Amino acid sequence: MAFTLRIPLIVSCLVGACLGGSLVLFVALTEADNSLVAALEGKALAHARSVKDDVETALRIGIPLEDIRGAGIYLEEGAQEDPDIRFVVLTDLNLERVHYGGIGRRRLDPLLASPEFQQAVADAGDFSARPMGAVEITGFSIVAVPLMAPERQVGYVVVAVQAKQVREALLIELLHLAPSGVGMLLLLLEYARWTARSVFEDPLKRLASLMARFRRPGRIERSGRNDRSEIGLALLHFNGIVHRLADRAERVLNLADEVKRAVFDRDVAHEAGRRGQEVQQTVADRVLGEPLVRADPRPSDLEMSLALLLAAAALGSVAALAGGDGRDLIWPTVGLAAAVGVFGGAHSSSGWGLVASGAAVFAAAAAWLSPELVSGWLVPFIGTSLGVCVGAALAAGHRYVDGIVESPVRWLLVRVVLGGGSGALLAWTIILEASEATAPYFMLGLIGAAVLAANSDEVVRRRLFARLPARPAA
Amino acid sequence: MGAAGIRVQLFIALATSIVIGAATAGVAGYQVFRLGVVSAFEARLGLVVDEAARVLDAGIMAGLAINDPQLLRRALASSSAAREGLFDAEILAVLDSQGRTVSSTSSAEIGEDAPPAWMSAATDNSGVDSVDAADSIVVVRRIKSLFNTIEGVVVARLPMTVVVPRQQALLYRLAILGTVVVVVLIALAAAVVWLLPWPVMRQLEALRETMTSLYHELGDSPGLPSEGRLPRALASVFPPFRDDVVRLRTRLREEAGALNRLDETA
Repeated sequence: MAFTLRIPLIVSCLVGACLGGSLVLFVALTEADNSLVAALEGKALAHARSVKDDVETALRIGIPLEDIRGAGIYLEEGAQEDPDIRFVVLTDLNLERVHYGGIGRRRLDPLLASPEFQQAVADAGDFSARPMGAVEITGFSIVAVPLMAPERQVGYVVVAVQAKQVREALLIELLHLAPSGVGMLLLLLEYARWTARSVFEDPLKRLASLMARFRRPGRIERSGRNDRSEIGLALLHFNGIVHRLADRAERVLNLADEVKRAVFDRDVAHEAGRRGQEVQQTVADRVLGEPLVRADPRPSDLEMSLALLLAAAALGSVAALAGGDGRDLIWPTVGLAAAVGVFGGAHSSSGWGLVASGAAVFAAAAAWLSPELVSGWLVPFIGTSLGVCVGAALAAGHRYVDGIVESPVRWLLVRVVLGGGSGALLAWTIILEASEATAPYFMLGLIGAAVLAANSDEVVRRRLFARLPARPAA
Repeated sequence: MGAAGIRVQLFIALATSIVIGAATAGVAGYQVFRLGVVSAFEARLGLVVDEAARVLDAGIMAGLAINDPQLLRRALASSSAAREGLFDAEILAVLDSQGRTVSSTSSAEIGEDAPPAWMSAATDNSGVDSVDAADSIVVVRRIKSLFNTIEGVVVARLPMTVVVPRQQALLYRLAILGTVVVVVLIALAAAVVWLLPWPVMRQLEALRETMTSLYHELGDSPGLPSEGRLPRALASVFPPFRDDVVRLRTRLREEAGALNRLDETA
């Protein structure tokens, strides 16, 4: 069944998310690249003017350009101090290198001799109208300003920056944000799984289960969850089939009763009665009377909301406690143990466990946003609340799926890995970006999504708040 | 969750994934750009601070005081080339060792005490350092004497009002282009869902036909049973179920027939 819908849907959703994300990221980075390259070129121009001022000081006192001592070291220091500056060159009027710093001569000379650069300098004329715009050649953005001795121009200051540096810097910055991208993909993975389970796998399992139980002795159960989807209508047809069998059986019983009353021959009447009795015992008792209708609990009822609650708890815990010492871990441990005890042992519904879990996250987020509410006990309060969240969620989840999945522990483990893992990755990015103040907003967003997921259908809400235990018949 | 058909659910899942992926990437891209813009301006201000600090370093080494008027004039003038192209909004100031402003391109600040964060931000190795400030980008450099005592600090700052419009312009462009990307991809998702032959749709169609046929068989109007390609989960349970239903129907018909015959012969 996984290959029918779950795997194609997961792959499609992840591909869609990655495609959408890649395109938007490409647009963002292209825009950022263009803006930052322009800023970098401005910096190159500023550096060129600064070098021009210094060199012209020497030229004004009569030192020829080629005789300025230490010019090479001065230019090299300028290039070394700033990783964005790739080279700084003093040239003569023919753009021949006189002094340089930065990249080696072998790479530098072809750039100075390139037709595009020569043309750009020629077009700039005497630079009196406006500065020469940057020329891009083989990834270098090159600017030039004229060098003036008293009364005449003697050469140029040429400075180059490399846009590659900007792109590398952007990509390195993006790596800091990569964990959040992986976290979102984990949540989308769980969302696609949940969609496949709730619209296809779980309803289909229910239909198969009803059909398999049909030939077993005892009353025939009908489905209490029939939405307007394709499988919901199939379940409705199943109910209809049972109803029609009940209708036929009732007609046969009525006929048997009628014949038994109407005939005068006692043997015939006895035979009619016997046939009616047989139909009553073998068919009618199974389908007539008060219909046995049950809205079955399904794992998909709380898969997504559980994952989102665990994500919120993990995000808050990592963001709040990562900077502290190990002793802070006692608070979530206490909260978790207390919640497991309360919601694991008491005969309450799973819905109230989820409500308590969400309320605990809300309390933690509220305390984070308004620390004065807990005056000095912020970390213990947040830790305990998030421990309560995890404990209540796990207890509610275990009670709900116990008996309807093969291994409740494995089922919970998958939720913890996907939900908790995504929350932890989001928190990691928040910490790397030093944006811990945004964590409570993310937590509130996640519990909002959890509330939506738990209320996706009215029958789901009623099922979650039904008192436990309510197990299917053996 | 299943109130709508499965195609609608698949489309919602795909569309949600596309929107979440695009939104996450958009936030990441904007954050990277925002930090990049701040870094770029910090680097420009670093140039400005370096130029002024060079002159001040030389003057201090020559025995002048940090508040020497001629030294201060030359320091501010030396950075004019580096300040070109910075929107004329930057403010360059020199602080003495107590944090008092002894010179500034904004004359209103002269004589005022600078925020303590500026004094403490300059690193011990006299490198240029930046200060976290909400309303401006601030770059500082400490000026030391020959005996390694702190003589003063050079501060260059650029109000965020210069930077923010650039960030907002990117945000608007990103929002528009991102929306276009999302709309196109969602349209593509709709085409994928409604035009591609998903195996699950064939199975659900077969299920619909089969259950409808079986339901009609039990009614008074005849129907042709058809199984087609049922979902795999029903492959093993549906045939016995169908056989049981048909057997029960047949049995009830036979009983009804037998009772009618009894009635007629009696």
